[in-house]
Amino acid sequence: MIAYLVQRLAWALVLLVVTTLAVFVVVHLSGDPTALYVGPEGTRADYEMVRAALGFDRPLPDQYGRFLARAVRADFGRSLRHQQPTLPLVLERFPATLRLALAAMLLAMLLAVPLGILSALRRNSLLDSCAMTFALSGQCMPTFWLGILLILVFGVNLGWVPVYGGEGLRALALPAVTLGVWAMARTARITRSSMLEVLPQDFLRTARAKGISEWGVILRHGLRNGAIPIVTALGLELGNLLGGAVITEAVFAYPGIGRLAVEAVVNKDIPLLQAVVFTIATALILLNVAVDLLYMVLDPRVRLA
Amino acid sequence: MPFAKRGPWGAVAVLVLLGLPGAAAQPKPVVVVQSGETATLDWHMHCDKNAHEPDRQIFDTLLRRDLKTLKLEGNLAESWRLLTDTTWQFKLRRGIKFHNGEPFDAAAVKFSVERMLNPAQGAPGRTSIASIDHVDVVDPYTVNVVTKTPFPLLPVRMSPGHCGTVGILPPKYVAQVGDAGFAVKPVGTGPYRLVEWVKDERLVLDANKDYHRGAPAIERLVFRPVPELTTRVAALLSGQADLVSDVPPDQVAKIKASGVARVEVSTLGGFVIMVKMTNYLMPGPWQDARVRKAINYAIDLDTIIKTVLEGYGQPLGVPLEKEAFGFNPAIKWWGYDPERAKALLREAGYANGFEMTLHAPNRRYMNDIEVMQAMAAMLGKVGIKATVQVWEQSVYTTKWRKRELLPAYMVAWGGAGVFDGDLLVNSLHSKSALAIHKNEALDKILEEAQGTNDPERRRALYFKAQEIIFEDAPIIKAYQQAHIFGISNRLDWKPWIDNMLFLYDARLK
Amino acid sequence: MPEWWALHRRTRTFLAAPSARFGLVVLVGVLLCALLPERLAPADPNEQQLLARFTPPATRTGDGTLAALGTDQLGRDILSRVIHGARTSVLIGMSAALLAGTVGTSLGLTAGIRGGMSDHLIMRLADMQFAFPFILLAITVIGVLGPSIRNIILVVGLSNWATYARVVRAETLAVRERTYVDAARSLGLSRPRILWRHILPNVSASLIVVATFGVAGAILTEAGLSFLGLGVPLAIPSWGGMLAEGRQFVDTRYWLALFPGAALFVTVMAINLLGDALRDALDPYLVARRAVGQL
Repeated sequence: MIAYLVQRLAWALVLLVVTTLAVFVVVHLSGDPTALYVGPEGTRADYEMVRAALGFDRPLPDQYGRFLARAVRADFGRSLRHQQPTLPLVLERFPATLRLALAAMLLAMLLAVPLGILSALRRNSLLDSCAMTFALSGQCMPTFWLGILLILVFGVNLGWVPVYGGEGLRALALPAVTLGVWAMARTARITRSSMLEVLPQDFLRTARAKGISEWGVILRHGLRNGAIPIVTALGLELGNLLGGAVITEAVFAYPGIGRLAVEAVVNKDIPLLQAVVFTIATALILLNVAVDLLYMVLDPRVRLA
Repeated sequence: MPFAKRGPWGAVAVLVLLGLPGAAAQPKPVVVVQSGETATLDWHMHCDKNAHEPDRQIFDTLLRRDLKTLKLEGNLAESWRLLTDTTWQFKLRRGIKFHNGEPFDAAAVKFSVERMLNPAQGAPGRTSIASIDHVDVVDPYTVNVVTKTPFPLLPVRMSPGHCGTVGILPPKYVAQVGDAGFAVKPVGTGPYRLVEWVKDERLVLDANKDYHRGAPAIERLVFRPVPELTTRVAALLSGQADLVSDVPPDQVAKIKASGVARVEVSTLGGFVIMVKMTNYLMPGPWQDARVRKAINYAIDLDTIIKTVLEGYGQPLGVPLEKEAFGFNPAIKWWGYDPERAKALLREAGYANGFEMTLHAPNRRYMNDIEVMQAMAAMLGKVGIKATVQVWEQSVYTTKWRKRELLPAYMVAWGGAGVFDGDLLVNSLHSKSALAIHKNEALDKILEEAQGTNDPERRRALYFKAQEIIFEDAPIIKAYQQAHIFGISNRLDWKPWIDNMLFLYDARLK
Repeated sequence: MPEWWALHRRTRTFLAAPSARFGLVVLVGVLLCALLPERLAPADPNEQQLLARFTPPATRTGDGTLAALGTDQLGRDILSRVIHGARTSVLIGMSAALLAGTVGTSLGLTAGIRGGMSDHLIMRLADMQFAFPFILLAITVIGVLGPSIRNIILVVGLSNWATYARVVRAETLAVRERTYVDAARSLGLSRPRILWRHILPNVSASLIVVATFGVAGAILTEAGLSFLGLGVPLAIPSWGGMLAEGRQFVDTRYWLALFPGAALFVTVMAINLLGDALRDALDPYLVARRAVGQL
C-alpha cells in the first residue's frame, strides 16, 4: 500500500513537470514570449531588460531550465496589470473558487445521488424518464446562458438573492446552482447507471435473503459498491467544475480565479494567466492523488493488488 | 423580504444578515457599479475611466467649471491671470488640507505639475501639458506656471478631465509612501477620502467633513467592479446599485419601467466619436483624398444615429463639439450619397472596390461595435469590402498608441469639459498620440493657434483649420454621443458633462 | 452470427428508441442547414436592415418581408443567421472530433501495440488531459494565438483525444491477446494489416459513440468561448456568437438569444440522445444482457 502511494506521488510530480512544460510551450507558441511578459505597454528598454532577466535570449532548453527553477521558487513573474507578483494574487482568490466548486459539488451530490438511485429503482417509470430528461437538459445548456436566466428570474424579478457580490451563502447561491447543474446532470446519470449495474447482482440477493430491509440493502451494500464509479466521477467532476467556474464567475462577477483568468486573457496579462494555470494544475493533480487514496479505501481489491 | 415572513427566526435572520452594528444608524452607502477594476488610483498615472471615477471624488484641481454657465472658475485656486505670454499666475486658497492633514500650498502645486511633466514618471497625460516648462513658487499661496510657448489651454488643463489634467497631490505623503504606495492609498483634497480598497471587490470612500466647499451630503460611496453589463443593470434594478454609467440605449426602456430607477441623459460635451483613416502609414486606396470622400459619401450617419444609437447622438461635421470655442458652423460635412461615392471610386481607379479593415474597441463607446458593423455594411454597398476587427480595451489602447490600428479605427476624443478647438490638435495633428494622418498645412495652422493667447486670432485659425479638414477628409464621419445613466430613485443627482461622475452635489432623497 | 445480421439487429434496437429517432431527425435537419445554408435561409445572414432593427418574430419588416424569427440589433434576419450558424457549429464540432479522434486513435494504437514505456507515458498523458480543466488551456492558447476558427478547432480537438486513446488502447490490448493474431503474424501478415482488419472494426463502434459526445462538447465549448469573446470572429454567424451578442437583450428582446440558444440546446440534446442510443445499441455488454433478457 505504501508502495502504491509512493508511486502515485512520484507520478504526480512528473505530471507537474509536464504541466510546466506545457505552459512553457504555449507561451512560446506566440513566437515572442518576451512581448508577452513585457505586455503591450512596454517600451523598448523594458523589452531588452526583461529579455535578459528572464533569459529569453538563450537557447530553448536553457530557458526551460530557468523557467523550471523559477517555478520551483514559486516565482511566476509580476502581473502586468496589477503590478504585483502573480502567485500571491492567485492564491488569494483560490479559496473563493474552491468554495464555489465544492458548493456546486455538494448540490450535485445531495440532489443527484438520491435522484439517480430512485431512478434506478423505478426504472422506466415516469419518474425515471422525467429525471433523466431533466438531467440530460442540464448537460445541454451552455452555462452562461443558464446563469443569465437565473440572474433575471431570481435576482431581478424575485429579488431572492443579490445579483452580484453579496456575503457568504447568498453570494454563492446562484453561481453554485449554475455551476452545479452540469455536475448534477452527470452525477444523476452516472449514479443511475452505476446502480443499475449493481442492483441485480448476487451479493445483494444474499443480503436480501438475510432479511435486511430493502433500503438497508441499497444503502449499505449497493451504494458502497456503486460508490466507486461515483467517487471517481465526482473527483473528475471537481476538475470540470474548476473549469466551468471560469465562465460562471465571469457571468456573476464572482471574485475567484476563474474570473482572474478571463481578465488575464482579455488584458493579455500572460504571467498572471500562467500562474492561474499552474495553480489549478497542481490542485487537480493533488486531488487525483486524493481520489486514488479514497479508491483504495473503498475498494479492497485495489488494496490487495 | 422573504425571510421576514418566516416569523421570529426570520426576523433574527434579517438582523444578522443586515449586520447588527451598522443596521441602526447609517443609511445604505451609495453604490456605483463600474465596468471593470482599476489598476491604480494615482491620478497622474492612468487614463482609465474606472480609475477616474473614484479619483474624481478624492482629488481636486486648481480650477473647475461652473455647472450651468460652463465658465471656468476657481476651485483650489482663488484666481488666475496671465502675467506674460508664457506665464500664468495662480493665487491659491488658504486653509485647505489634504485628507491626511498635510497643508495644501504652492509646494503641492509645483510638485503635482512637475511630477506629471516628468518623462521618467511616465504619466500618460503628459503630452497634454507638455507646453509647461516649470512652476515657480512665488510665495506659499502663489505660483507662476511658466510655459515654453504660449499655452492658451492651460486653465482648461487645470480643471478636471479624464486624462491630461493636473490633479493636486500631496508632496510629503507621496515621498513617504512612494509611487507604489500612493497608487493603492491615495490622498487628495477632494470631497471624499479613501477608506478601504479590496481589489476586484469594492472601493469605499467616506465623506471628507473638512472639504473646503463644505462636506458632501452623502456619507459613503462604494465603487464595485461588475464586468457584465446585464449584471450591472440588474444590480440597479434590484436595488443593489444606485448608479450605472454608460447604459446602452436598449436598456433604457427597462430601467424606466422598473419603478425603482430612472434614466438621465447627458448631452453636454459628450464624447466626439470619429473613425480615423490613415494617409501615410499604410499603403492603399485610402491615400487618395477622393477615396476618402467616397468613403464618407457611402455612410448614412443619420440613419446610424437614429437606429443603432436610438437617437442618442448628434451628427457632427468636423470632429469638434458645437459648444467648443472655435467651432465653425459654416461647414457642412460630406453627406450620404452612394452614387457619388461609386463615381468617385471609379474616378480614382477603384471601380471594383477594395478591401479594408475597420478596427473597433469592445464596448468602450455606446454601441461602438454595432456602429462599425453598420458602417462596414454601408461601405459594402458601394463595393468596399470592409471587415470589422474588434479588440479588447487594454489591447486596443496599446495598439492605438503604437499606431497599429490601420487603415481605419474608431476613437473618441474631447468631452471632459475641454470645449475648445484645441481638440483638433489631439485628434488630427500628425504628431499627436492618436494621429495616423498627416497634413502639413493643418499641422501648421493648429500649431499657430496653440502659440497665441489672442482669442480672435485663435478662432480665425480654427475656422481655417476646419476648412482644411473638410477638404482632406481624414475621418469617416464624426458624431457626438450622449451618455445615459441609470440612477436609482433614492439618489438625487444629475449628470453634467459626458460620463464624468462628480458626486459632491449628490444627495439622497 | 453473420456480421450483417448483427448489424441489422443493432440498427433495429437503435432505431427502436424514440430518443434516437428524435436525435436522428434533428441532426439531419442540422446537417442540411450546414451543407446548404444559402438554399434554406430566406436572407443573407450578414445583410443589415438598420431601419428594421429588433423586429419581433413573425412580424413583417418595413419592406414587407417576413422575419420569421425576428431581426437582431443590426436588422439581420435571425432565422438566416441560425441556419448559417449551423455550419459553423457543425464545422467546428466535427473537425474537432476528427482531430481528437485521429490523434487519440494513433496514440491509443501506439500505446496498445508498443506497450511498456510508451504505453505508460501515453496513458499518463491521457490522465492529465482528463484531469485538467480544458477551458483554461483553451483561453490560454487562444489568448496567445488569437481567436479564429482554426485555433478553436485546434484547441478543442487537442484537448479531447484521451477518451479515444483509452478506448482504442483497451481494444488493442484485447486483440493482442488473441491467438489468431499470432497465427496471422506467423503467416507473415504485417502489423498494420492486423490492425486494420481486427482492431479498428471492433473499436469503431465505441469510437463513434465517443466522437458523438465529443461533437456535442465541442459545440458547447465554442459557445462558451464566444461568450468570453474568444470565439469565432464577428463576420461569421455562429450560435455562440449570437448568444454573446444577444445576452444583453435577454429580457427585452428575448428572440435574439432565444433562437440560437434553442438551436444549440436542441442540437446538443439530439447529439447526446443519439450517442446514448448508439451506445446502448452497440455496447457488446449491453447487447449480451439484452439478448439474455436481463434488460
